[in-house]
Amino acid sequence: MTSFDLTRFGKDLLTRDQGTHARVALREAVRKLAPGERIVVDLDRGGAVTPSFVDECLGRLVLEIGESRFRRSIQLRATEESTRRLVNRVLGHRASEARTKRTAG
Amino acid sequence: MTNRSIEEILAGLLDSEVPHVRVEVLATEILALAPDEAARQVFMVLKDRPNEAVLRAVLPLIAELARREDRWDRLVERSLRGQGRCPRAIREDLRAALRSVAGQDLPPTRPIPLEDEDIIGNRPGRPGPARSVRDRRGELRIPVTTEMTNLRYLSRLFDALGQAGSKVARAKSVVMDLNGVDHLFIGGLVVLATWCDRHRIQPRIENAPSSTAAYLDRMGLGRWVEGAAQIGPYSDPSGWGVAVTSLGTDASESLAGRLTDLCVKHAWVGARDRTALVILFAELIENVRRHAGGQTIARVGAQYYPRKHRLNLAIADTGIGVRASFENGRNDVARARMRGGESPLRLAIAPRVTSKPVTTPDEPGHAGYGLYIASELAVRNGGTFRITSGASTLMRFRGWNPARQTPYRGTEEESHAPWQGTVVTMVLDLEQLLPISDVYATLPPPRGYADDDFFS
Repeated sequence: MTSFDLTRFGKDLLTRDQGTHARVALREAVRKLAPGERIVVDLDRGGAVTPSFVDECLGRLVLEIGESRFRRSIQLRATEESTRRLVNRVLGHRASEARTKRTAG
Repeated sequence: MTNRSIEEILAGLLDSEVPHVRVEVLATEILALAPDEAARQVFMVLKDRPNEAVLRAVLPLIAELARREDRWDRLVERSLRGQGRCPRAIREDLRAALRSVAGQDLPPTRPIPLEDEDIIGNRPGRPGPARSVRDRRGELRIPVTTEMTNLRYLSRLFDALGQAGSKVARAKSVVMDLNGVDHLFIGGLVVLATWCDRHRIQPRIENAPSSTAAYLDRMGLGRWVEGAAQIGPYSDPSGWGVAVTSLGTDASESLAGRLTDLCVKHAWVGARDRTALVILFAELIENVRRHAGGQTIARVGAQYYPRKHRLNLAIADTGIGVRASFENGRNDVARARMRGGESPLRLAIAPRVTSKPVTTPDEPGHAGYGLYIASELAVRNGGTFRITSGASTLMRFRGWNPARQTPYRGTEEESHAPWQGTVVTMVLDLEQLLPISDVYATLPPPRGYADDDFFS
């Protein structure tokens, strides 16, 4: 398991710009993963996480690499109920969109 | 000098039965490590643990600190004013304990901002017609009243600015006439400043009572007032507000942080509510930055009212507006709904409706959460949320449930001159919860996914 440090993008993760930087770094980390390995993304860092950040960083990564690779490569962690709820809603919709587009394509 | 943090010291205090001598030792410890920040930190710890046992246990320590160190007067002052969500009985005990220490000689207090009920009362209906804009010998004179700047009556300000807008290009000078206006509200100030930025004018304030001129100066608009100190754009030195600030000057994170700090500094805001506030402010600011179009002029400002623990916030831009954003956007479904008669403002605050959805992974786009979350949070907090774009204003408040599709009952009106851009105003009650988790629960669940799907 490799840990992906979100704190380097800010104490509070608020904007799409922060989300873009985090996604680019996360995508690179996923690319370098050895087979069977996973990256842990810990969302419990004490700061706030906005829907825009979650969508830009994680939601768009689901669109980019697909839901199954996302699940194989990334282990999400959060104890705060609101964060878990938000992430599931956002990622569920993006995964659903990705599936629809693949089917249509 | 101790190595323990204030939080550790307080945790130790809370874990034990505390004899008075122990309180004195702890007071010495805190004062040993206390720079000016110490009082604030102790207070923040208390705010994060708003339960009766904790407050009762810590009360003797606070009293001891206040007795032994002058600078704790600031804590006394703040505690007496901003107890927020602290239970009433504890609040009274705290007040009595601090008074007994500080005696009658409490430090001089800063003036507390007056609220709209104090100034304009709760009048039924709308106030009478405003004095009209005058254009004489190249001088455009805009009469501004207290009511026009109040969130409830901003439509009157839009009317006045609509009249002035057609004349401003020809005017040699613009005067804001504040004759007899001894109070201004933050919502109107943000709108006025944004309108002036858009027309690239610097108005001259005339006939303003000195208190009003001082308020303009504190709120970052001192350049309008002859002879004002011009204290800079960021902080209202009275401490109760965030000055009217251009969104072009700072990053969203920094602005959202400053607005959150205002609330945390004065109200009984715990860690969860702090998180909700910073999310709310960041989403609103980002929404303007992303949707209003290039070269957008936008401003934000806030005022905290300590007696009712209320925060008034306004954010205005001169972008393309909500209707044009949907018309020019990539969301065909939303555009069709709008052309079918649906209100663009209702679409804007609906969950997961955006004018710029993501259609390919590389294309910038949005998800449509920001305005929905802001409005829903305001409603669940017992506050209000208003959005104005063009000639329409939509208001949400507690009791109005958009999911039921009930008639608006006067919450949406088209009754003022068009505002070129969008204005969002909010009133939040910082004594009440800001249940962000409940708001997330109302987001439509994705089909085929369980609630904890991505954490397994």
